[in-house]
Amino acid sequence: MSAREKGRRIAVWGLTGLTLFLALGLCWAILDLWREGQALRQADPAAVIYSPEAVRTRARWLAPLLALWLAALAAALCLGKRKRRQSAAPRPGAPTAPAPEAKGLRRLRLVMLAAALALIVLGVLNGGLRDVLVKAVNLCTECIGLG
Amino acid sequence: MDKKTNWWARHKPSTRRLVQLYTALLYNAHLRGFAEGELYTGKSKALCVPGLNCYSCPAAVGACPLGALQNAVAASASRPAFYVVGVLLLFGLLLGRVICGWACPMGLLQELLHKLPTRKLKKGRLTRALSWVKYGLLAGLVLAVPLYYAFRRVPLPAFCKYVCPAGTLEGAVSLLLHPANKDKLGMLGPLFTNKLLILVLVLTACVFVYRAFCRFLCPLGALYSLMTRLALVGVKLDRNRCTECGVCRAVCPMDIRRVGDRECIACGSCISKCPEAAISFRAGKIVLMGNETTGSRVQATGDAAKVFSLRGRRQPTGLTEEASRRNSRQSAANSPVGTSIACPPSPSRRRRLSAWLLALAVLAGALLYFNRSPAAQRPAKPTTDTVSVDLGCDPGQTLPDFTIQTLAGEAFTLSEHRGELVVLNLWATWCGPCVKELPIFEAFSAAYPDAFVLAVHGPMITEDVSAWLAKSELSLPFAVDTDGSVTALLGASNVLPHTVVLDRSGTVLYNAPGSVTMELLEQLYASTKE
Repeated sequence: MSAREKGRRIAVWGLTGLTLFLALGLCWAILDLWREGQALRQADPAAVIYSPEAVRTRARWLAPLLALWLAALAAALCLGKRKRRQSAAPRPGAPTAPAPEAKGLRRLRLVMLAAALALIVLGVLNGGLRDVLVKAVNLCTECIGLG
Repeated sequence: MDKKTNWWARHKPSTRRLVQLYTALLYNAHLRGFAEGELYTGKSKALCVPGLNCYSCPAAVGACPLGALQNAVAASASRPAFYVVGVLLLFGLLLGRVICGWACPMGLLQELLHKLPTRKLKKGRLTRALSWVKYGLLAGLVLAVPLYYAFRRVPLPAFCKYVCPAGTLEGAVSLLLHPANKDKLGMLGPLFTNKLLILVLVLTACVFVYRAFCRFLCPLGALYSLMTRLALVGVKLDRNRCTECGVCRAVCPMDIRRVGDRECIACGSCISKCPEAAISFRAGKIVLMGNETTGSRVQATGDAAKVFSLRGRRQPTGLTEEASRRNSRQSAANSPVGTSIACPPSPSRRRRLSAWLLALAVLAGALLYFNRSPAAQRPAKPTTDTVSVDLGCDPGQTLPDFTIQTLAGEAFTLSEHRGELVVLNLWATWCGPCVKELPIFEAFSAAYPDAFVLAVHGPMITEDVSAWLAKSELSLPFAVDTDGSVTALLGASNVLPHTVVLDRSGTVLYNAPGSVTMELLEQLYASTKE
């Protein structure tokens, strides 16, 4: 194995470990923020859990880890890609051919396309289109996890 | 120079990657939204885009089909979900899981993350078993839970609320990073914490597992996969040519059992690898990618002249199936496995160029249109009195007087309630957190008779509010802000619920979007007593 290949392997393994470590660090930071925020909320129901100061403090702790991760990423990218195998070995006896097409598949597709168009027209008439618009132009706080 | 050319040849983006980038940009053409920290509110948002793209993303110009489906199911007690079901059926029948492979921004993100040079988890029995989880999520969180709550009259898009990492990333994180949305930080609670953890875990999984979210968790992919066999466009296998060698399955990064099955996202990576040139990317009879002589149906009808390709070659007529197969076998035999000699002929540059130019013109038009929409479309900004700095809607200011007609037929005038603690709650029947919050105001109103609570329905109405209230057991005074003037006066934008609490002199004590708790209301009440 060449020195370059060895270096590449070390960089890839290093990046793998650091990615996991960074993810764990992020999870820990989120949980720590939450734990601290809960204590604050008990004293004051209007307290902000994810205040910019609290987020900044955790970000400061994670910054060295992120820098290390970026360095490992740069090293792994500089050392190049692993050579791809010519082709993956096929599994003997693996079923690859699809089941024979059912008769009338095209007809079914046409019927369903017609049904889809009819449903869209009905939906526009019964106000479904406006419902989608109303939900989409307003910020769905629940949908994005704001609460 | 030669080295540079080689580098470019190895690193240049594939057509699929360009299409993925193109669709991601087209779905999110309102780039100004990132700079302003506000959602696009134009009418194009009534239309669903095919891929998973959160409509709460500041740049989104269309509706997410999965979010729209859940909300339509959640509202199905009052209105059948015809429109969204029809749209999803249409997308599924035309494109199927081609959408996942080519037109999903979340898929693009996952593929880019997977490009990070780390150790990877290979597909196997575990990943194959996990690929069934998405069907459970589709049945449970997208259909069953919203339907159950629909009949309890609480809109609950359960997948969006508890799982969807696209919503957390595109919606929550991108909005919260903007300084204009500082007021929304107070809303963040356990739900956000859970969703943020899910986002971190999903993104980490995508680094090690190819399209981890798409393969294991995405209910939209699950829905489209049910229509894969019927889809007009997709990767098709000529079973007359197939020798069942298994190369296609081995090179596929997804958990397919055969080409074009429910897990196939039509990425086309198997097309050039097939030693028999039996796989092609087709839209009906039109070959978009792959060997143009494949497709027994076309040849059997002797209609090979009709076979066109995006790559611009017309097939010679009169080519029999057997001859074509023999030609292909010969070329396959002369070439090593894994090369693309048996596959596509060189493309017609002119046709490809004109297709891309047309697409870029559409994108440029969309970017121009969505980024110069009139200011009137934006949510109304809080109105403040220019003469007196004490008048306004921020805490410490005095809220300007207003009158609104309640649903009971009485007029509510703010100035008549001086000496009382006044709670103004902006809500809507289609807003889940708003509906869940109303009993808190009911209980507060009952517990503190010297406080006045008015629940004002926002200007966007999807059903008869009086009829909705008649079915509920709420006795609060309700009003409907039909022209949006009260919403604007309170400084509320397009975020519901929104609550404003005024002290006994009419000064704003609290003005924030998001749900409130009984403890918070009691604390505010106590502060006015001191």
